[in-house]
Amino acid sequence: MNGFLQGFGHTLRRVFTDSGARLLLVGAVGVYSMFYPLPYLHEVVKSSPVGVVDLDGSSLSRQLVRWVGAHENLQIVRRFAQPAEMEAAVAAGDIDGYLVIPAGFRADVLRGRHTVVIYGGDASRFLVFKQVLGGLAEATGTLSAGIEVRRLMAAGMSQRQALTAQGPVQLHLRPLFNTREGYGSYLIPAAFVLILQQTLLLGVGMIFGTDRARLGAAKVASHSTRRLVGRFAGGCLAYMTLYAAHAVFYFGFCFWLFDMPRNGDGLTLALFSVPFLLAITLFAQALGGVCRQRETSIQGLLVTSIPFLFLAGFAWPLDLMPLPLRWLAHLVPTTAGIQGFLRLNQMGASLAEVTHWWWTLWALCLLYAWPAWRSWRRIYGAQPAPPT
Amino acid sequence: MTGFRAVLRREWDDLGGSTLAQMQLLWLPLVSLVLVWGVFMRGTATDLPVVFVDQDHTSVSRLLGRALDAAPGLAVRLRTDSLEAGREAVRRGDAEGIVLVPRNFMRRLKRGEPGEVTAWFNAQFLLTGNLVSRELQSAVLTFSAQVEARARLARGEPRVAVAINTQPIAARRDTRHNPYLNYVPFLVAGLAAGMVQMFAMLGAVRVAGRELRDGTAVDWLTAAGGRIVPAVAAKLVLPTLACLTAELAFLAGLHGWLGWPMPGSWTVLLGAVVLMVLVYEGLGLLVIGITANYRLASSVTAFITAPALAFAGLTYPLGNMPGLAQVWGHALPLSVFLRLQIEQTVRGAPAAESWPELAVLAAVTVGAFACALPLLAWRARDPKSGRKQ
Repeated sequence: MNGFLQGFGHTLRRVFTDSGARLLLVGAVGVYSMFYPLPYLHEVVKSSPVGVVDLDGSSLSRQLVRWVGAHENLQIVRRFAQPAEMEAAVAAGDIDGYLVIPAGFRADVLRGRHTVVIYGGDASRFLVFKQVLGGLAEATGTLSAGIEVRRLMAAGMSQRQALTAQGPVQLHLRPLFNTREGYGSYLIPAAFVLILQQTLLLGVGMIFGTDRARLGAAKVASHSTRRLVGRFAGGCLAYMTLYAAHAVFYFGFCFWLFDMPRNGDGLTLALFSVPFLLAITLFAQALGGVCRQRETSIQGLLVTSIPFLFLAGFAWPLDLMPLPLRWLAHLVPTTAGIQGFLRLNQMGASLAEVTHWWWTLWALCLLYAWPAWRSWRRIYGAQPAPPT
Repeated sequence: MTGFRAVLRREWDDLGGSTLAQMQLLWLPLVSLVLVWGVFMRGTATDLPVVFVDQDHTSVSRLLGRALDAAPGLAVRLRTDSLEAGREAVRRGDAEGIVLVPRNFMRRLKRGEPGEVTAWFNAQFLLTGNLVSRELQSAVLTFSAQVEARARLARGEPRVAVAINTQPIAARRDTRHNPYLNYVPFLVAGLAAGMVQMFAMLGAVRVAGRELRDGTAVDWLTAAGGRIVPAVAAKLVLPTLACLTAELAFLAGLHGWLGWPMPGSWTVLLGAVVLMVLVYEGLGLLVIGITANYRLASSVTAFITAPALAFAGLTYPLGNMPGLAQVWGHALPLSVFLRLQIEQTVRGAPAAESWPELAVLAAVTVGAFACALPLLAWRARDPKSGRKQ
């Protein structure tokens, strides 16, 4: 017990007295809590600027242009006489989307001939793209449906029959959970889980690297294994306690501040947090074993952030990844962490619904316990007194 | 032997003795890029799992269920009549969307009333959710057109007229400015650039920071004959080559192996890649020159490069960000590079249109080196600098 308390106290002291480690394990967690959400703070759905090329100039084409302009997602900012001018505006980024109405449009429609309008947009801005194309397709579709209803009525149908006949199955599409379809409320909860793991990874790596460079590799253990295990466990609990505080700050205060969906209850979140915090603590110490210098962790492990985030299956479904990558993804605690926390916090899942990820985290704890202990013992095993 | 070659020799020997240094220099960049490439290599989503909640239990509702399952983008993972079971499947992650066919669906269609289908997509996993929403829309639309065509044939209208009349105005999506049907190519190419800027800046901090930390900066400068330009140039050869190798391998994987189109100019794109690597190396040298602290310079690099993708306007438009975020975003060379990359790889813009971006990158490169070199020379001559970590 003595060793356990000693390990706990020493680790916390180590974190707070080393300016480099403190910057990563405390400072960065605080700074990133405000810095990462910054781009999405004013998230509002704006109407996107679009341009039209009306080569027909008839009453019908003008009606289509009016309907495009009346759509809530769209705002007509430019009218072009020639498609070439429109091309230039797209290239310059002046408009997000466009509609081209061909010459002879009205005449073709009246004669019952097939006519094609062309719409497009700047696909490189894919969040806007969906909105613009949806709006243009809807405006065109509405006009098309109206014409068809008139045709059917001319053929002797009642208005009600005609309305149904042109679109017998109607789809109402609704977002689930992130009902405002906010990009921030999609990204930030996942990014927060990643920040927790990565700052711990870099911070522990820095402490291990610094101490390894200073103390050298231990040849002989100078303490009983029992006492060492106690100190190691105390150190793990110190990191877990610190990061439990960070987790409360992120999932409690920051989610409230940024108005993120918060559907999880405290007890469930706490139950899920235990294996997550233990898993990232052991994962960080296991990887910390490769750090030989103070700077190794940032130099070597910082870049894992991007692959880890995209392996987590929140931007691209896990099931669509190649099989080896799916296995690899399960070995990184953030995958289970992001999947679990998002479902609990934002989607209101019960613990029973995330058991797969809960057990994955416990399995990772088992997997990383031995490597973590090995890399810790190699550095601290021979120290007569805890290094300060 | 002094000068450029001597420093290069020194770097090469240093690399040979350390597996860790080799990892940091080349293998880590390559493996990270390959991992991200691997995540997205499928490119298009197929068989996205949905729950089919059938409360109608008729031949028509079952037909819709089969039509959804048959759509290449969707797979019906669960058939049930309880909406709550569907929501649970989404919460568990077994499905990404729900389609609800209410009671009396077939009866309404038979009576000539519209049959209403409600569908939900998981917007918490927004990018996947958007894919599901698009697939659901097109699958239900196709089904609706089939129902309508069948009704018309039943009314005795000739087959050809049916084919034409179901859609008086067809809207065709223009694929000139968007050769891809999804966002994946933009995202993936942007992610690669985001990682390369990280490697470039870390690399420059590493090669200079190590000398300052170990107090060997004087030897380094002496090897270069006391001149800072060859001293730095020789140091940057290996990191630059490693970054370029990783990025080129990645581009070859996208445009070669996966066959994604490249409508623009390779010369412009590759020129921009080189400039971006140089810009971030210059910034790295500047940071180590200012701080003279390898550890702190690495942390500053982490702060600048790790969140850069979020601020560079890759996924979320810069124009929609609050002022402070816009200022930071525009200040990042990565944003300039990403704009150029999209111009060249997606829009196929003429080379001349990307000159401004190339000029900005070149100017910032020159500026960063012009400030960093004298600072570094001064730091390197002072044996005491860089010892504080």
